[in-house]
Formats: sequence, C-alpha cells, structure tokens
Amino acid sequence: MNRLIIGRYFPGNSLIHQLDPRFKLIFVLYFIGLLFFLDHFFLQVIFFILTLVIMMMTRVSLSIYIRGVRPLIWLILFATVLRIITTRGGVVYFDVGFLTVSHFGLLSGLYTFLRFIEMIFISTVLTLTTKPIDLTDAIYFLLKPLRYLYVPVEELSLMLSIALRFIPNLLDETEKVMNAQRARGMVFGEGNLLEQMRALTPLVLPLFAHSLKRAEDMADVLEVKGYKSGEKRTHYRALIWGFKDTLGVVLMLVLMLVVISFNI
Amino acid sequence: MRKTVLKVINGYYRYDKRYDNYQLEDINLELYASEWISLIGDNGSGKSTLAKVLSGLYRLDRGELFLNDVLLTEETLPLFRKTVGVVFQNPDHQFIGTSVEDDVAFSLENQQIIRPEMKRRVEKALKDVDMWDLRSQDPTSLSGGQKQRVQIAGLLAMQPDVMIFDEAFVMLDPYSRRELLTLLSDLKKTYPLTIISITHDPEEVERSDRVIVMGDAQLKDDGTVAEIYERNASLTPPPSEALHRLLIKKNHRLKEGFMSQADMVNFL
Repeated sequence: MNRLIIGRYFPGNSLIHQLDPRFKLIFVLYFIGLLFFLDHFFLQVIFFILTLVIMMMTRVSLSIYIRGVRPLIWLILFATVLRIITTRGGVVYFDVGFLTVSHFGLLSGLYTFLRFIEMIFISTVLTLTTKPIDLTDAIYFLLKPLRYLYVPVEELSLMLSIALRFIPNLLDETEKVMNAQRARGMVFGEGNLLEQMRALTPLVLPLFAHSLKRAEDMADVLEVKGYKSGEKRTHYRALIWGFKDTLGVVLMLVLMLVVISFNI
Repeated sequence: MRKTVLKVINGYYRYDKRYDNYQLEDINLELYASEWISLIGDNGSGKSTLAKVLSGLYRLDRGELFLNDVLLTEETLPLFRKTVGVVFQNPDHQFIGTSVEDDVAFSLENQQIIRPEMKRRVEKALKDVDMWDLRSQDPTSLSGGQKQRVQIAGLLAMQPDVMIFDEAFVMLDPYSRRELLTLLSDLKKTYPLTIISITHDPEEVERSDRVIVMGDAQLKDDGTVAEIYERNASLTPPPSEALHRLLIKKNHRLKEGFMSQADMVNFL
C-alpha cells in the first residue's frame, strides 16, 4: 500500500514546493485544460518539455513520477491504440480489414499518449509538492464564492481535511486487521475472483466497525472542541501569495498566447 | 470559601429514552476550583457518562448542571465549550489537524480567536507541554505520550477552567503515564485548573485531592484519598497502601489508616 503515489506528499524546499497552493491548483487545472487545444506537433513538444522542466524543478526523482503512471499505463495504451486506428488521413502505412494506420492516426495517437502522460505528471507535481492540508485550504479558498449559493464550503473543506488525515490510520488499521486474520489462517489474494471477494468480508467488516467507532469518537471531539456546523470560524494557517506566484500567472498568460498563436 | 466550578443537582441520565433504565441516578455533586478529582468505579458504573454530562456532551434527562453558577442550556452551551475541555482515551481518534500546531489551534478557530492571538496561545500551550519543537509533525507519527501531550496542549490553548480526562492515560506505558501525571501536577501549580480524571489506576488516584467512587449509576462515596481507601477495603489501593496492608498482615507494627507514598517513604 505504501507504493501508492496518488495523493502522496514529498517534503522538500524546491521552488515548486514554495509556490502558493492556490496558484498550483489553478495552474494544474489550467494546464490540463490547455492540453486539449494542442493540435500542433511543435506545441506538443513545447508542453512536454515544459512538463519535464517543472518536474525537474520539484527535485523529486523521475522514477517516482513513472511509478504514478504505471497503474494507468494499460488504459493509456488502449486509448492511444484506439485513437491510432480510428483516425484517418494522410499517408496510409498499414491497411488490413478495419485496421488502418495512417499518418494522422499515428500523430493523433502520439498526442493522446502525451496528453495522458502530461496530465498525470502535472497532477503528480501538485500532490507531491503540496501538503494535503494546504491543498484543502486552496480548495476551500477557491470554492469560497459558492457559499453565496448556500454550498457548505466550510463543512466540505473540514470533511476533506479529516478524510485526508484518516487515510494513514485506515491503511494502518487495514494492515492490522489483515495480520489478525492471517494469524487465524486467512489467506488473501489467492483463489478465483469470487473466493478473493469472499476473503475480503472478514477484512471489510471489522474495518467498517472501527470506522463507525472512530466517527462516533470524532463527533464527540468536534463537539467538545466547540465545532458547530454553519458557524463562522477563523483560520490558523494563512496562505501567502508571493511574487513567484504572480510570475506563474504571467507564465500562464504566455502559454495561452502561444497556444492561441498556433491555433489561428 | 471554595469556589464551586461545576454543580449537578438531582441529575438523571439514560441512553435509551424509551426505558427507565438510568445510567446516572440522583447525582448531586459539587466540584471546586483547582481540585484534582479522581472518578473511580467498576466498568459500567457511570463514570464516563458522568464525564460526558459534566462536559456538556450529554444533557441530563432530569436535574440541573451549573458551570460557574451558570445553568447549562442551549444558549449557555458555548460557555461550556470554552471552559470545559476533554481528553478521551484513544489519541488517534482525537486528532483533527494534520500537524501538531493545527490540531492545537482547532478549538481556537472554532472560538473565532484572531490569528495573532491564536499563534501566541498555540506557542505557549505547546511550550507548556514541551512539544513546541515537534509543532510541524504529523500527530499520528508521535508516541502515545506525545499524542496525549498534544491533546493537553489543545485544552491549555482554550484556557479552560476544567479539564476532564476520560481514561486518557490508559493506553500508555507506565513511564509515559507517570511523566504525563507529573506534567499535569506541574500545570496545575501554574494554572488554576480543576482536573477531573476518570481512572482505574491507583497511582493516578493517589495524586488527586478528592476521590469520587461510582457504582450502579450512583455516587457511592466521596472523600480524600485516605478516607476513600480506609472506607472501601475492596478497592485496589495505590502501591504504598498495598504494601502497608501487606506489612500489617505480616504482623509488622505500622500506623493505622491509609499510608501514602510519602508516609511510606518516611516510615521506611
């Protein structure tokens, strides 16, 4: 379970680590959005190099990023192949029955592949360099205007923060319950799909019971600590927007201009 | 004259409101400022229920609860929240913040304390419990004793009058438990705190000024440590008193009544 990269934070002091989480969150969403407008080979190259540069700036090993891609590689390859065989145009390199590989097909497949990889890499940059709690604060800040539409933003943010806080506990508990069941002769990960699912029942039930107990305790703690849903609260942590973040916004505008110039 | 902090008059409480099976019955209790009170009794005797009533988590079905002469009602509940803090048994179920200082600040955020004041209080509280250097750590990565220190800091930051410990040290090793009890004794010397501790640990009981014994949902006895152990032979005594009783059984000539640790040291 410790091999999971999604949502993992790697402590560090790189320039990317120092950026305001609000900027990082907006940049990542913006960057992913722009990826869908890259219909030129040169643009693809620019964005791919930019992604690599940002990754290098985080000073996190490339192997960590590749580990993030690995669980999704079959999905990416499937989408890429589908794109290759469904897009036609230009020189045809291969044509047997319904399978046609054309120049445009290959290019389109390459773009799809790069788009997926860049999306995963850039999202991983966000999670690897931003503490979950800072990310929660950023989400809270960005969703704040929705309060006027009676969306319980404060509650959602607290829920998210508590959920993030309990993930390591839940993983620990899963490990403990699995060990306890193994000590009773339980074997996990063997047999056919049905047997494997059946083996999960003695794991899921105690975990569920523990989670309910934990939720009950947490409700008591929230109450004695004076938390009241819907009440105004102050915030201990402050997000600080710096000059580097403003420079980042300039970079976003430049990227936009570059994309527009290639699409005109 | 001693100042009353918490007062219960004819208190009754039941979990299942459909039946007349009360978990607290006819509770009349007055707790004074700066007292260290140990609440002892068998499992199921109503200790934790009483603690939850005193903290305002459970509302009495009958009777009244006063905090500093203010009756607990929906309107006065925020006052209880500011004045009475609770530490529960399992520290892992109590952390809300993802760092030590965030967790300590949580109750202050709910009280809408402004940030500079919050920073000051968090720093002071963490320094008081010797956890300031670990302020940026993930609380779940700390040892059991350190986790409960963070919880105590969370209460200190609130500047409460009453701290309730609901078997808060039961999951700790004897060394950490003693360290935390010493810390509490020191804090009590610095701040005018009333400490209510629900415990089964005779060593912890020995440190208190007053012991309340519960049984069958009622208060069975109330007195000083010496009085309680003299009147209730069936209770497991602190180590010094256990040794005292053993020596008497072996026909050694010792003073009658309860022997505290200090008495025993003097005697030896």
